[in-house]
Amino acid sequence: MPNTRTSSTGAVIAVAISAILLGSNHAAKAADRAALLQEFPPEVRPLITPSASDALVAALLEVRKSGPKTLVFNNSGGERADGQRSAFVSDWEKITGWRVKDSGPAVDPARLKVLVGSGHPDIDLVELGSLGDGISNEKSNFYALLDRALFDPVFASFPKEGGYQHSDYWVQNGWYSITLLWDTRKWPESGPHPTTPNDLFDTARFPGKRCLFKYPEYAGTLEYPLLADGVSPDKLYPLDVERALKKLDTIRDDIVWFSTGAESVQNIVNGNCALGVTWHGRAAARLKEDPSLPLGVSWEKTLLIDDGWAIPKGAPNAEAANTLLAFAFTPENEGKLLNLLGYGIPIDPAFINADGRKWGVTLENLKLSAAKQDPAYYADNASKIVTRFNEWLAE
Amino acid sequence: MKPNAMPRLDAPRKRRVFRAFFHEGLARSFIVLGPALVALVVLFILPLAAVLSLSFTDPELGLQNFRSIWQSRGFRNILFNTFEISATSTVVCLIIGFPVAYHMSTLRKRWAHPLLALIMVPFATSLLARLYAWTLLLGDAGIINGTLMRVGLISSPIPLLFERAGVIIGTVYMLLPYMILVLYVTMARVDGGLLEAASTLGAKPVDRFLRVFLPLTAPGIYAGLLIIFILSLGYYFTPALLGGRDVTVSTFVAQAIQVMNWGMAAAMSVILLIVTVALFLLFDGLFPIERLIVGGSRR
Repeated sequence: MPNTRTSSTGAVIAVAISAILLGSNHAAKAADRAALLQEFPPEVRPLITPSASDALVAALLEVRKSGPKTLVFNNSGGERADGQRSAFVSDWEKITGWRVKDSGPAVDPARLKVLVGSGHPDIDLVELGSLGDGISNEKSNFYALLDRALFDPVFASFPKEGGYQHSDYWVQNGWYSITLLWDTRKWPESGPHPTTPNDLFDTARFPGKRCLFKYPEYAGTLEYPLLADGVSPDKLYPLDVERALKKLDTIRDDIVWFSTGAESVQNIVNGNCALGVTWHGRAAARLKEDPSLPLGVSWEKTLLIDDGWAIPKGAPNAEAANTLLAFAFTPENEGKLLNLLGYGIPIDPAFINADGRKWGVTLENLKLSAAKQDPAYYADNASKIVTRFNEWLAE
Repeated sequence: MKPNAMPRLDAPRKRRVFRAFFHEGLARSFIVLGPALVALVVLFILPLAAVLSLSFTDPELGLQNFRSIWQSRGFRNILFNTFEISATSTVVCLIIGFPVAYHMSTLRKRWAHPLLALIMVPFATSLLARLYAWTLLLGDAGIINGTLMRVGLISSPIPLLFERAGVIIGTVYMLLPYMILVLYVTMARVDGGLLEAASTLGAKPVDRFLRVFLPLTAPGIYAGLLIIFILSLGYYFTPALLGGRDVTVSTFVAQAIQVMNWGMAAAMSVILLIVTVALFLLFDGLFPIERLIVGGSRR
């Protein structure tokens, strides 16, 4: 597949590379950087994060000169979109003079297939439901290549122990933890209360309805029964789907199936469920807003699911989208994402505050979890698993 | 190609075809119906053909999708669930809608019309907002169960939300206005003179209702049942948000599409379509539509 973008950005990359080659000493490089910054209006210069690579700053300038236009950022909306806007989107708008339009809901692979198939997708940047989607969409040739001049420094900055992944087409934006939630009116934090997702299956000690997600690939619906049944975390994949369903059968009558993210927390708050699962950022957002909510949250022995971004093939503003993404992955901005939303990559702990340490998937919090979802497994098997799961649900 | 190779129409026949086309209105019909025909082909027939072909070709050519639906209790249940929910909701709509429509038809227009407007009000608000409101009403700690428990009518909450009951309540809520409208239109057109005549001839109120009013409003009842049943078969948000373990064809298809199992999604849709058309034909055979439209209306 020819990379059409290379020619349009060749100049930028050439400048960046020659800057590196020619700038044999530090002072020369610093001078080049200063010269680049001079080309931006003074009021936006402070917004360009100091750790942004020279290549990124040069590319941002190119985008600024080619604009102003509108970049369409497809995402799941809500608090997520708001957090991303304050973490990096609105700064990028000021730096480039462009406008970023949020579009939702997040496209699933089916919609992406239609959009890319049309030859002129109306979105420039997509959020991946999971890296499993990323891998299968990459195989289906739905994505544009990422600009390596911008992303090589980004990939190199990821902390090794976090297990963060990327390909030539997509990049992970951290992990989210499928945390256990429970109703503290039933089991106060001070007394005995559920502590790990295994307790979802202990109806004797913790009676009541349990809320599980009806889309098994996104919230541990099949992993948690296996872990509770004694499968060791490193032997989780390939999933023994029948064993998982058999374990789910033991609590079948107590399961409430929810199908939208907001319901996961709401169902505990309004008493429809005694315990359940949610994505850690959801619980954090609600508790930050109102700490008196009767929500117990546990990160212990949870499943981690990945999350990421990619640029659809044929996106009208692919180069601008590359700079927006690379800008998001500067340590400062990832820190802001962790502090605001709890999702992100802890590239540099210096940028993570108390909120981020408590609610974000920092390297410390990552250690509490039991297992990481295997995106490659889901990329190949999601269709089969989900169909079988629905068949079981209707039995 | 030699001109002689073409089969030639003899002149009179050619003229007849020509005349039929231009003088007997066929051309006019084509011009008038053309846009609708094109729209129908592009927007309806082609997509339908695509769905049909997907059901036989994805992931490979063959009947595997239909076979797996036929062989699995789970998949068959998805179809049964869908029809059961639709049939129950349709009957409940009739039971609730009939008295309302009847009462409205006895009112003067001055009163009936504002009531009609009130019945239409829900259409002006967002579907999702209304469904979320129902989750607040139906939950174990929701307003309905809370009130019943406080009054002492029940001691533990009745499972409504995320149960079959919730889906039916939601579906009835969504479709009741259509039922009332269809019934009202028919009932308002019943010639009051016929009812008076029945009384004059000595019919008791029960007879007057069963033997005069009911047959006259039958077209509306049939039409209402058919509309509600067919509309509810395709409902997605209601079972997705208010339902629990009930998988319906719509929720299954949505999820199957998402994970790119388009063959199964298409096969399930095709079966739903075939069964629905079959039911429609059966219904139409039992109660022919043409016969329903005539009757004692004031036309």
